[in-house]
Amino acid sequence: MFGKDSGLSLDQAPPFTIPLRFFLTAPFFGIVAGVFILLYVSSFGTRSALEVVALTHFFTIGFLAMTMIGAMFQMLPVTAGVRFEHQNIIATILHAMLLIGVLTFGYAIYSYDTTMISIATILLILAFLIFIVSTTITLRKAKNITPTIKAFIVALLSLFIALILALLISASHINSSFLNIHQGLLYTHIVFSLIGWVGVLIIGVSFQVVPMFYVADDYPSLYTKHAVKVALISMLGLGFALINGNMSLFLLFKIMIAVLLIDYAVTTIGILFTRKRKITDTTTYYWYLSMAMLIASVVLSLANEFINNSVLNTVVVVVFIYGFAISVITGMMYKIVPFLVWFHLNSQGYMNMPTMNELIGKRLTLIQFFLHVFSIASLIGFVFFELQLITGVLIVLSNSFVLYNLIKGSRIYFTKSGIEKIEF
Amino acid sequence: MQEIDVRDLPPPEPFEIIIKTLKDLDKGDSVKVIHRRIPYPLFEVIEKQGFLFEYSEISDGIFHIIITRGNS
Repeated sequence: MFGKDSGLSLDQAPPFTIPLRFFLTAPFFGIVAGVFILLYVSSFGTRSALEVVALTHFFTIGFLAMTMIGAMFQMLPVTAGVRFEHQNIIATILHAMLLIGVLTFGYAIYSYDTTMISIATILLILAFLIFIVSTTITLRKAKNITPTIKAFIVALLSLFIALILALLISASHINSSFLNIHQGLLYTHIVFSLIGWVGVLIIGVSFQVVPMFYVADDYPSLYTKHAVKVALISMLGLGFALINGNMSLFLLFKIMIAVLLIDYAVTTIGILFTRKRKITDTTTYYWYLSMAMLIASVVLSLANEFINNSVLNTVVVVVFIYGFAISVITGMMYKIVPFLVWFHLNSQGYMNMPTMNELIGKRLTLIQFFLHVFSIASLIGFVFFELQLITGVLIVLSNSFVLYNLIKGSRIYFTKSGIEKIEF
Repeated sequence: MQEIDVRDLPPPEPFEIIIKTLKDLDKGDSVKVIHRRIPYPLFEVIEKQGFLFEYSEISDGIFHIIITRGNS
């Protein structure tokens, strides 16, 4: 009972260290990616170069999937009221497999060591399968299937399809035997990874966190009820058209996906702009930047259907991954880590804590935000010019700053310095 | 019955306000919370503390939650 002398008890909540270990590993991979650029990526013009493939996966698995999987341990209890069975064991296994898997994959692809490619592929595919199966089992317990939960389901299905395609692509490299439809498989893998898994998951999470954290209007129900379904149909159609070489069908589905993504970005900007509490922090800037980058990426991708320049395709992917996805996820980590620190300390009876905004401090996150903006600009410039040194340095600096900020924001949870348990 | 509308508050304010209100609630008394979502983490905390709750979605995105302090 809530007596005058009790704090709150949250024995069942996911321990703070579960999402935190994934969140702290993400900027570590950002730093790895920056160092990798400095050492090995002399040119960035083509997506197929091995070092660019390795670099891409440092960002997509090392940074993006790492945070998204860590966040799911926290999101499912909050949005669906369900939690992973044996969450500590599953989180530890997943984190270790992803960590080792991505490092091995980067090395294996760069050195083109087929034995190592096999080991890395097996490790990563197993890790993702464990995640998909355990999340599906957990989601089955959810009583209230909200649009966010539906988005999680589509994201998991997309991840599964992306994995099957990754397996086929890796097998081609291991056996040095490429199918006629190899390029189609590769493109479909990119679509399901980036739009289906990353994009749809971020959209689903936005349905919850944007209205909640920013006291903004809800997304229109027409969008929340149907967008994810349409996205899935469009991606399946796009994959089918690509593998069959039907370019008019491909363009139709591509336009459908483009409309969905632009609608999402414009709506997000709109509801943030008209939010009731006009308090602006660095996370708000991150949302605006991220949505602008998403629009830019989609518009450029559509325009390139007519321009047909392979270098522009690289820009599209850079802007989507680093400009859109990494931006929004970094911004969200700045919001969620202090919130979790507050929540867990409160549950232990510590009531005189700094406010959420004071835990990291606006100045530090703002400096990092500008470093991130320069990193995006430099990465885009690197597609056209020899900007290896500046790009690598900026990415190392920016991600080191993210790591520092997240450690600073979460430190108080471990040290308890300057706070006391309040007895009533 | 006391009524708290937390729809226009960002986290963690709804949680703080609801908990503060519940602490002062007498046995058998109830409070009605108007929320934008189902606050599962709150439910987990208050259930363990012997509170009873029920909720319903009044319209799209508006939830009414009745929380009662148990007699035990």
